[in-house]
Amino acid sequence: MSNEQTLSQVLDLECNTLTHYLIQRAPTPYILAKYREAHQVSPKLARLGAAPFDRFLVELSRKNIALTKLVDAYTALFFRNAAVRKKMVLLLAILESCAPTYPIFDQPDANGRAAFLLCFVRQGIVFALSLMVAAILLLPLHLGFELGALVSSARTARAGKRAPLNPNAPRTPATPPEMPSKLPSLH
Amino acid sequence: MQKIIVVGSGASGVHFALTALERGHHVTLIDAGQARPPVSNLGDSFSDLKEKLADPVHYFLGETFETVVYPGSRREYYTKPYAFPPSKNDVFALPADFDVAAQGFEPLFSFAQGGLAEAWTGGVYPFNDAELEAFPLSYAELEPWYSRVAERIGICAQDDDLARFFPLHGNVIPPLRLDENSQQLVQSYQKHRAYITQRLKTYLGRSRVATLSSDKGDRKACSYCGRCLWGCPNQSLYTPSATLNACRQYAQFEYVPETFASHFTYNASHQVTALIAQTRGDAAPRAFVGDAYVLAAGTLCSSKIFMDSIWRQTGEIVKLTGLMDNRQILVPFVNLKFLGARYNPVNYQYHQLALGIETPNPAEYVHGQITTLKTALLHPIIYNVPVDLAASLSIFRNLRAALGVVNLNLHDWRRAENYLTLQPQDGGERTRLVIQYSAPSKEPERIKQMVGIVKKVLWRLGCLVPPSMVHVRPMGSSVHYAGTLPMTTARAPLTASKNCASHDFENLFLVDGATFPFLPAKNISFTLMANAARVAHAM
Repeated sequence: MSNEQTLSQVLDLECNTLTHYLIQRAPTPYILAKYREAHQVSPKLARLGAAPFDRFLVELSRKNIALTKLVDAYTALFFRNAAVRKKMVLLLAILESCAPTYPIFDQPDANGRAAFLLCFVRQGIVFALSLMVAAILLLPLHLGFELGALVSSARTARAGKRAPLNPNAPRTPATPPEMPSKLPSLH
Repeated sequence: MQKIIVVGSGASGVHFALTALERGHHVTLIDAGQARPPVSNLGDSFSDLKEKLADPVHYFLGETFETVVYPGSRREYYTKPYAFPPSKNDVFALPADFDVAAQGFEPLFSFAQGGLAEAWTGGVYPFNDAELEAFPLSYAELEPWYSRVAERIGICAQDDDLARFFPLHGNVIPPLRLDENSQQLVQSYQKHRAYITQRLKTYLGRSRVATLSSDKGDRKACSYCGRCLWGCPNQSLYTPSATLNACRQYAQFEYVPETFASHFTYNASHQVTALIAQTRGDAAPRAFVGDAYVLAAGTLCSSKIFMDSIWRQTGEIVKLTGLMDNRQILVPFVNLKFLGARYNPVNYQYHQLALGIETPNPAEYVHGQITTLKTALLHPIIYNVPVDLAASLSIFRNLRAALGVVNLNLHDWRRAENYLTLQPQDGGERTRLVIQYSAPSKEPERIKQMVGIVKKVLWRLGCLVPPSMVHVRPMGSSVHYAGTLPMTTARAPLTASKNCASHDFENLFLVDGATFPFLPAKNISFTLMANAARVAHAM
């Protein structure tokens, strides 16, 4: 199987899991195709998921929707610019732009203010519980990945200083690992 | 009769041109823009597009999904660095060699046919006498032109509490049908009117919009299809290209598209002798010669042409001070009566209500347009709810019908620290436009005060403003640029006469915002059109 086919399959799995998670239904072939296409043509998506923790979260969120929920809750507070979050936002943009999924964005599932308040409280409680579990599981991992990246970066920098200079070797700049835009709070 | 060369097909340029043509003058209109692709699926609503287009995601999100707004994006809702729909990409596309450096300002330019008003939201508000005090003309002199433009473009208006801020001129048509959320706000206002007007000095009423509530010629009445932002399929929402088409019915009108004006030449007596412009694909620029020359390319571009002309002829780099723009503040709100309500997509998308905050100095009136959320791309709103995305989506669906935003505008005035100038590049081959802008020192206090008033008004109307969601837009966002070559009664360098004739060049006129000596908080477009028509009539 070629790399391209593997990537398509991975993106389809991702789209499938994330769509089920967001709107509790399967994506249509059109939505799958658009999700794949976005990853091919969008310059912003081409740079996503380069950092190890980012990649880890994307892989985790593909496994099942329970894990997706934990990843979603964690990134909502601690890692708002995470690759997986951007992928979900992309998917929201696709889902709201086409049939048969756009009406989901238009229809309330509560009817009236009392029902809205119940929905709001229920969602808030579920989010709080998910966040608690996610923080216990993912925060240490996140810190571990960040420490690992720092150590790796320091080693690379030291190795670059010690190696004898070969005037004939092509010079390429060291590429530091991508840092997330917001580190988790330790407090 | 004169041969008049006009630069720019925006709101000012086309109304100048049409009035000049009606007077029997010969008009050559030099336009950087080209014809826009026609709007497709004419009979379809916003929701229909999602069902019927072969590739709706391409239509709404773009070829490279460029209109998707990701977390961490700094974009405003216009184009780069803002985010406009792909169907409006051509409105904001810049020529490859257009060079600008701005400090304290995020400018928007349009080189499209019809200019920036091809992507406007249609607000049309006449200036009153207090706001015109710095101008060498009065409302009485402008009123016939407001009425004339209203007759041309179609303006919905009604006589209500806001008439104290915007006089009711002639030729208005009945307003559009209100959406349910706006209707409820009006009812709340009626109930709490005494408190809101007397204690908070704020008045609410219908916004004035250049949208048809009944058919007018080839343009149809609004069908409430919700496609306003993506391109009105009925031409109900006025855009300057409609007036450009009216100009093209005249035999003495010459339209020169895809042609960029760079500068004019002038003789020792400071008479303009030619306008120099180059058509895309031509090897060299050419000279357009007339009896009078009119710059209507927008304050920034007209000023650049003016400065470039002097620089090329004398080497002098001019500094044009007094650049103005309206600061805009977005105050989102939730109408508590609509929580859990069903959203109705069959509605006019843009603002239908406005509010005015009275101030001790009437010229410093604060203007607000109230837009309730109807058709829109929703993902940028959904991810801003501070919970996980699945929960955000669920909460948002139940809030959707309740959402709205007040777009507050503050006035501006000419200050020496805000200016335009040029910076020669490539060894003097071309120039870069340099924009410098600093906000007034007391602005943060004023913003806080006005936002505080709006929050209290909204609370009285039964609406809540979510914490930390008020957004102060960067300067340049309102696109109401003005003030660099102001109208003055006394003759002075780098100014213009009451009839917008340059005091520096005898046969040069500037009919866009460059000549406005003061910028009230209201949308500038209607006054640009009326003033341009007034100037053309006087020639």
